[in-house]
Amino acid sequence: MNEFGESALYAAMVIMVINSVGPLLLVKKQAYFALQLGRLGAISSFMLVTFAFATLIYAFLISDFSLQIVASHSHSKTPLLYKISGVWGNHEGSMILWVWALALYTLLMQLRSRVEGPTFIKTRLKLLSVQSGLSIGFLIYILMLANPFMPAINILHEGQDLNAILQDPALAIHPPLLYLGYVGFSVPYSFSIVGLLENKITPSWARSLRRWVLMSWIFLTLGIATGSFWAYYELGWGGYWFWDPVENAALMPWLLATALIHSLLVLEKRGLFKFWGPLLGITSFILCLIGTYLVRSGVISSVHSFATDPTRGAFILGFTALICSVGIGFFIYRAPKLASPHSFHLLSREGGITINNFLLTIMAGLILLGTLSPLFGEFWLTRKLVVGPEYFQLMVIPLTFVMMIFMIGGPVFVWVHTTRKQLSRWLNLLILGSILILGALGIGSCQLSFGIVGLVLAGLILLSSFMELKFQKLNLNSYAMLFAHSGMAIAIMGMSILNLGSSKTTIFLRQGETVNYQGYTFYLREIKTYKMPTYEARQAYLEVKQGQEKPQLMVPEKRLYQSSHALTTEVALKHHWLTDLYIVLGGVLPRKRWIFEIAIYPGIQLLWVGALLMALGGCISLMLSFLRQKKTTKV
Amino acid sequence: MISKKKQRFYYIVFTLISVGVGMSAVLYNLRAHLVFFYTPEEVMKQNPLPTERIRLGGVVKEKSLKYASVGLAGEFILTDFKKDILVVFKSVLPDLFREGQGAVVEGRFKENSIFEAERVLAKHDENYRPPTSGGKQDMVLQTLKE
Repeated sequence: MNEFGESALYAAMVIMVINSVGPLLLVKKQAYFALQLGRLGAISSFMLVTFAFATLIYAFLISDFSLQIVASHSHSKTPLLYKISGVWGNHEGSMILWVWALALYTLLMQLRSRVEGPTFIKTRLKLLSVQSGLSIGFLIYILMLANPFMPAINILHEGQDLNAILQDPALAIHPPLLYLGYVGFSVPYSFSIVGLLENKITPSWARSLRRWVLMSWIFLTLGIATGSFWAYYELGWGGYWFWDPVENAALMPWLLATALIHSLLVLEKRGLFKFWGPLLGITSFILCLIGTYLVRSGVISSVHSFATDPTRGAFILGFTALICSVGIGFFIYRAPKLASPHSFHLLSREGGITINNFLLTIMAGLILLGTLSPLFGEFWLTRKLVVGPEYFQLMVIPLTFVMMIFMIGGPVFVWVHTTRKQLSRWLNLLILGSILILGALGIGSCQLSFGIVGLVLAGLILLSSFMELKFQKLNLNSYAMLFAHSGMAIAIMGMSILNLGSSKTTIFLRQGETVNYQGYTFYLREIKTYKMPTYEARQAYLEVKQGQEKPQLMVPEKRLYQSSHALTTEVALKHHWLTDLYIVLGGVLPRKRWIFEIAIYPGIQLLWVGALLMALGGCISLMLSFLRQKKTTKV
Repeated sequence: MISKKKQRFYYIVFTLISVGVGMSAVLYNLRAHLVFFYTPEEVMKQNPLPTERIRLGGVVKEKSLKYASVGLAGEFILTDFKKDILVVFKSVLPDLFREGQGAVVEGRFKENSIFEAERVLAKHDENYRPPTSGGKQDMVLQTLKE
């Protein structure tokens, strides 16, 4: 079976090579034939990659230890779900997932929408050849440097098991979501290249691209949220964001994609940002590749980094450089002709979006600087260093606040020119906000902190959105914005509440002892040890009582995986409205005193709710764009 | 009325000043939060010892981990098999922390060249497994250097 899988990858590569030039050569003489040929190529290469992927999954399912990656990432007793998710829980397998997603997007681009004449076909085939070019690059990488079908050096009877931390249901969805998001940015890249080549950066270009960006943006949003959720509840890190290089690698494209969605809207409605749109499209894909480089090469130490193989890093870096120079080359070639037709008023919707784009891009740039600093440091100072999370907080949070001030005005600003009456509404809200902040400082004698400002600004965004709901007759489009913006506000509200009200401590308990903390009473009933097929679990039975309520049992757990000798943490969580009580079982001190880390996280639920709302807003916008297209084609 | 030329001049000056101020704020902030990485040997060469927050990487010496009688505090010796440094800590040790294996500590030097760790990180290899111990000290060191 495995040989078939490997040959399928080779065959897919051959087809992609044909696809990248063949249809374009034929298009002049036989346009429709060329189109069908391209479609056939896209379908068959997708099927072949799917087949290779399925073969790999099958090898994991039957625990075929003659493959190196199965032997080092699976175990015959691993539960079924983790056998499957183990496929992308390692470097080679995750690259297959990457190429599979790329082939899927290429296929969707070929199948979507009807054909509208020869020029249209030409554009479509150019897109196909750019996409195929990208796929070829990644396939070469897989086949040369990260071949998942590599036979094992020594045939083993038992595998080394999947890394214990990755044995979690979240691994089944987090990487695929993230990758679908990441790879989706190949579409803006190829759209930008082709658009620049044909000098067709037009409103209709923006309209068709916007859908794709929305789609990958939704996946990326959900991918980042699940990752953050995973870190919070499974890994026992006691937080949701750590400014780790790999987290930043996902955040930067997200910021640029958010900017791109907004600027494409302006390009579609007003024909502005002709210069800016393609530039963002190209850079967001490059940032995705840089992210892959960071994760895969191990040049920057991170909790996420897999491999530390210099050749792999060099290949990805070289590939990124190639893609970057092609993209920027096309951009510079066409840039002089990309002037926008007219200027615009700053206090209008397009003005607001300009500010949004400006701030989001600066944020991404600052995060990039912080993320790459360790590399620069090693290169120029020849010293190893890391950048503390405080840098990122001090850079990103104030900029977010400035952006939020304009988001409050989001529903107020209209296209072209905002009337004075509408503007006064925005100003009133801002005045209300400053009174609230000053009042909180004066009456509540709170310290001025990021938490307070964030809370007030987020509240005002919600207020402003709901006023809009009450005063204006809304079309569906505004609902998309309403959901996405209030999702953002709710997530920021959650972060602010966390910043203001979270607390944590470490307690020591012997069996039968009781400890109080923040109105909670903890009683350690007993500690038990269980033997499971692949690991040994140690569970602490804690009776937790809040005030006069009935005591509840909470069971934090530690697992020791036999084959890898790795310890993992299972957090015990209790939700009470928006507050989480979070207990981690630590080690044991002399005289049988057990260590527990206890934390209270108010508002953390709002983060996940907010992320879901944002994604929902994206979905509404995506749906509307399809509906609108149907309507126009009917007429 | 200001002439158009003058207006443009002011515009450019304003942009340059704001970009300059912004850039210096960013770089100052970046410099303030850089944490350098040393091995015990490297840091012991420095005279006087650095006072800012640094990271130290090495191997936890076998049988050097001791807990205080109350609380979580304790100490261990971090070594690169050339120099030893006594590290005191007050927080929970990570899951992968073990004697004879790699660890990275972040904190500051106190008097008597004792290192006070604010954070203790266990160093793991690409599969989140702790580097193998027992006679493979060179390998452990190799992974640490990477």
